[in-house]
Amino acid sequence: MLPPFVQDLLDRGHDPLADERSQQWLLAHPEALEAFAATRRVLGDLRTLPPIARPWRRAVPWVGVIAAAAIAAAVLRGRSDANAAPRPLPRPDFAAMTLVSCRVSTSEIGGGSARERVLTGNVLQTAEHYVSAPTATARHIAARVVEQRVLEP
Amino acid sequence: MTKHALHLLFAVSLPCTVALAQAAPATGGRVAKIYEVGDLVDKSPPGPDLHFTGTELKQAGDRDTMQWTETEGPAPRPGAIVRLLQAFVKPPLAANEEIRALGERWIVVLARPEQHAWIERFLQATRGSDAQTFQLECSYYSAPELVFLRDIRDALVPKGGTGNGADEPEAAPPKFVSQVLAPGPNTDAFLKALPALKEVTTGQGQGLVVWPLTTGHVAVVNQTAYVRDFDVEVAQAAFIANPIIDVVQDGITIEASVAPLADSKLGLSIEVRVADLIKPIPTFTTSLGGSTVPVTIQLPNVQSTQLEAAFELQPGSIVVLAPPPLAGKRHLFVVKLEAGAGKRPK
Repeated sequence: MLPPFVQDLLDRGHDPLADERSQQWLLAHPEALEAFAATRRVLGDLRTLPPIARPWRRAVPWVGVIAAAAIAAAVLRGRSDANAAPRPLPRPDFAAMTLVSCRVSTSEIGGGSARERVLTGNVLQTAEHYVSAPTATARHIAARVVEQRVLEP
Repeated sequence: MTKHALHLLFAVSLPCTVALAQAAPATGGRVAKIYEVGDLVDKSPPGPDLHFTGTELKQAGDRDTMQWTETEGPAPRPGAIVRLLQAFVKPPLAANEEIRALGERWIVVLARPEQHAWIERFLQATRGSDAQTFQLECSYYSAPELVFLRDIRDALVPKGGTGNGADEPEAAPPKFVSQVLAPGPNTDAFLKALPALKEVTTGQGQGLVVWPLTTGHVAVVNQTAYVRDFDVEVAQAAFIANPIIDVVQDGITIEASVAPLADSKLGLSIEVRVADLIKPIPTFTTSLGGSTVPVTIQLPNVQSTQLEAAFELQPGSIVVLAPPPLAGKRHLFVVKLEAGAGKRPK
């Protein structure tokens, strides 16, 4: 195990053999010479190698581009969904207008009978009457009467 | 008032009504006449009369906690016959002419002689022993109103119309839908796509078989019990307040009746009704007379919407009805009418 100051020299690219303190330490610890020599040789070989392409550095821009494209696509798709035209059901085949009469009413009943006289509820009915001419080809509402009446106070 | 008292009152008033009606002077050629249709009203439909009642298994639970049982439907009334006559009598009723139900077995008609003649022929033909049965395939769906407006409404508006024939501006959405679809590939595609929509809830489809002028009935109702009032009992020094429990119903109801018309056409009178009980039921705390102890009663509020319509149809036609929305939901009823081959029992 090399001492920290020797490792520090190796990390900075200096040769420990040129350092007096390292020389003294190696003389005092001959058992570490073999490990020191192996480490120094490997690091020296690394320095002599030509610079190599580092795939992860080249991949970064591509990853970024792909991610940006995916995000942009998602955003565009989201906007497209939000602004998409309604997708109605397929239009069925309509028969000739044969509606003879139609009455639609909506009511709301609250409270109840006079037994709950302490209550404030009442009965209110809103009715809309649509009456058409009773012919097989009637296409228009002939009369429309809207009435609103209170059935019970 | 009890049921017996009502019957007594009706029995007393009916002869007077009949006498007055028969003796009613003709006004502008109009004559009042009473028709006895009890034989048509009492005749049970050959098919099932479906009435499903749900009871909540726990208070304020959701619909998944309902327990459904098949119960007896309401007593038959001549309302269906009245609606059919009102819709199809020839010549059509004027504003000062009227057809109304009278009790459970009669209808009263104030009309011109030619209209009375048409009604008599119509009833006589309907009573024929060779009359066919009619099959009604009823389906119903519910969807949030936003989904209806977005995905369904436009499909139910014919090109150049607003869906209900109303002379409304194009921008104004129809409040209701009452359309007749012709059988065909496009109609099949529509009926297949409707329940496939993610937000659409499909109800249990039901088939009805009815005689001419009898009423087929489908009801799926929820029954919710509530404390309506308190019955106070004072005994010596004791003050007893017994709660009076009542039941409020909501759900859907379909009533339909069919009559054969000229040219092999069929007259369909149909009424669909949707009721919704607002939950939780509002409460009201008050004190009873003679006591200062507060009691709480419940005030149910039921919103309902209904659509009555009469159509002149070819057999095989499909009627689509959508009453106005209720509680943010739109209910659609699809009814297919077919002529059957049954014969009326003698």
